[in-house]
Amino acid sequence: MDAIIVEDLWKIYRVKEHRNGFVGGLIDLFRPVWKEKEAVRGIHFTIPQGQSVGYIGPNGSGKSTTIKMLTGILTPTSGKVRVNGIDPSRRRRENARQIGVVFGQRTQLWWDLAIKESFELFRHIYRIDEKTFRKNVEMMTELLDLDQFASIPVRQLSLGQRMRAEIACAFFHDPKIVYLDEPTIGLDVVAKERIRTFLKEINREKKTTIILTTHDMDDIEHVCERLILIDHGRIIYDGNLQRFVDNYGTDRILTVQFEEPQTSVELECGELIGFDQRQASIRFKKNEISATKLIQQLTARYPIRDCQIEEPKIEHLIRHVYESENVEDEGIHAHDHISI
Amino acid sequence: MPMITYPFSHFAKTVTFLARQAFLNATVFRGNTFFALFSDLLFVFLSIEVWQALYASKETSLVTESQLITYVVLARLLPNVMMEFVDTVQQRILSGEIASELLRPIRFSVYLLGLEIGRYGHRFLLQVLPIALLIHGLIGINLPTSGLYMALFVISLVFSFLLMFYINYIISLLAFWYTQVFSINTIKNQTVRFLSGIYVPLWFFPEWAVPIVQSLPFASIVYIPMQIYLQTCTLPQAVAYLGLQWFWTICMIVLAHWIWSRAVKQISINGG
Repeated sequence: MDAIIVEDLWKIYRVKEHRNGFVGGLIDLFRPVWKEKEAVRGIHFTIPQGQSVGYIGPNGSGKSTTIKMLTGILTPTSGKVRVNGIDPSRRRRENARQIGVVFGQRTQLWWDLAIKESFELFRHIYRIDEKTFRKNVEMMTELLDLDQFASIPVRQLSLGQRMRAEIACAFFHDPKIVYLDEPTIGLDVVAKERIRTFLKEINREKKTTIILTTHDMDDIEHVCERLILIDHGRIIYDGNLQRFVDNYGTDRILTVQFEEPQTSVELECGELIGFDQRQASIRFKKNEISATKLIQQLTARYPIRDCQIEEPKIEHLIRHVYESENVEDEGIHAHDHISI
Repeated sequence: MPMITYPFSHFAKTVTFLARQAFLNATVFRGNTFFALFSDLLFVFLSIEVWQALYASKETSLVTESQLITYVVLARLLPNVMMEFVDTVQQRILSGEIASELLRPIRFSVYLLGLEIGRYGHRFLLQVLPIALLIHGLIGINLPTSGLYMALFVISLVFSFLLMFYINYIISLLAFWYTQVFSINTIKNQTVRFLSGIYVPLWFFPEWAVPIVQSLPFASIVYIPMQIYLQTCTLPQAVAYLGLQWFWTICMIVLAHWIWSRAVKQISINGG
C-alpha cells in the first residue's frame, strides 16, 4: 500500500514587494505590490509503506514546503496529496494522529513537562492503549537511553537529550509515517550515530515509513534506501540510493606512492589529477577499467610502495547533480529562490 | 466544539491529566506562590482600608458595609485576569513556532484550557482560600446563608473562569495580526478590571451606565458571581444571570474558534 501519493503538486506564495524609501513605505500600506514565488512546481512521487526516503535539497529548494504540505501545515496551491489515503490539509487533526514529526530546530515536546509526563500526555491525546504504551516506553527508553533524564523538564535538557526525547515522542504512538527534518543538526558524532541506528532499527522492525530531510549525507547513507532530490521546486532525481551512487559515482581516485621519485607518469587509462615526484593521483571510471588492472599497469612501469582508492562521497555526487542541473536551468529560475 | 472529533471521555481525561500536571508544576515554584500570596494579601488589606474609609464618609443605602467588604475581598481574589499562557502563546506566534501546534491531534485551546484549570486550582487552594479564611478570621466576611445560592455561585464561578480563559485566549491570538502584544495585554487587563467591577463595584457606577455595563461580558466575570454570592439578587434573577453568563461564554468560544481558524488559514496559505 502507498503511504504517500503526490501528484502535480504546486505551492505558490504571494509575497509583498516593498517599495523604497519613506514615501514608498506609505504607498505600500495602501497599495501593496504582490509578487508570486513558486516554491514547489508540479512534483510527483509515490512512497510505499515502510520505505525510508531521503528528501534532499538546498535551502530554498522547496523541500520544507513539500514537508509542510505533507504534514498538513500548508495548503497546496494546486495538485493532489494523499497521506494514508487522506488529504492532510483538509483533515489535519486526523492526519496528525497517524504521523510523527521531528523538526530539528523546533520542538514538539511540551516545554514544561518532563519526558515521562510528555509520554503520559501522548498516551491520552493519541489514545494509545496501556499495553502498547508500556511496550513503547520500554523500547524507546532502551534504544535512545532516555532513563537518565526522563524526569527532568524539557527546557532543562541538553540539545542531544532533547533530540532523543523528540524522536522518541514522534514514534511513540506507532505512527505509519514519520517526518524528520534535520534530526541530527548540532549533535556530536555519538549522538548522531545513536539516532541513525535507532531510525534504521525502527524502520526495519515496525515498518514505519521514514521521510528524512537533512544536510548531513551520512544520515542519508545510513538510514535511507531511496533518494529524492529537489531543486528550484522540481524533482531532479528520484530513485534507489545505491543505484544513484552506482550511476553518478563511477569516478574513483587512485593515489599511488612511488618507491623512488619520478619525473613523469604516463597513463593508458584515466586522468592524472595530481603529481609530485613521489606521489600521483589518478581519476578513473570504474566501468572503464578496474582498479586492479590500473594498478597492474602502473606497477609494470613504476615501483610502487603504497596505493589507496577513494570512493566519492554522496555529498559530492549530489553537488555534481545540482551543478549540472543549474547550468540547464539558469536564466529562467535562478532568481526565484525562497526560503521559509 | 472539541466533542465532535473527540469523544468526551478522552477529552475529559486529557484535560484532567493536563490540569493535574499544571497543578503539580505550580507547586514546584514555591517562591512564586509565596510572593503572590503576600502581594495579594497586601492589596486586599489596602482595598479594605480604602473602602471602609469611603463607606464611612458617605453613607449609602445600596449595600451594607459587610457586603461591600466581602465584595472587595473576593473580587480581588477570585478572578485570574492575567493568565500565564498568554505571553507564551504570543511569543510562539511571533517566532512562528505556533505552526507545530497544527501537528497535534488535540485542539490548542483544549490544551491551554487543561493547563489553566490546573493553575487555577492551585491558585484557589493556595492563595484564594487561605487569604479569604484569614480575612474572615480577622474582620469577618459574609458567607452565603442558602445552599442553593451557594450552588448557583459555584456554577457562576465556572462560567466566570471560562469567560476569563477565552478572553485571554482571544487576546493571545491577536499576536497573529498585531505585534504590539504588550499594549494589547495592558488594555485587556485594565478593561477587564474596570468593567468587571474589580476596581469599583458596579453599584457605584453612574445609574445610566449600570444596565449597559452589567450586560457586557466583563460583568459576568466578577460582578454577577458576587451578586449571587452576596444574595443581593432574587433567585429568578440569579438564574437569569447564569443565562447571561452562559450566553457570553458561548459567544467567546465561537469567537475564539473563528479567530483560530482565521489564524490557521493564514499559516496554511503563507506558511506562518
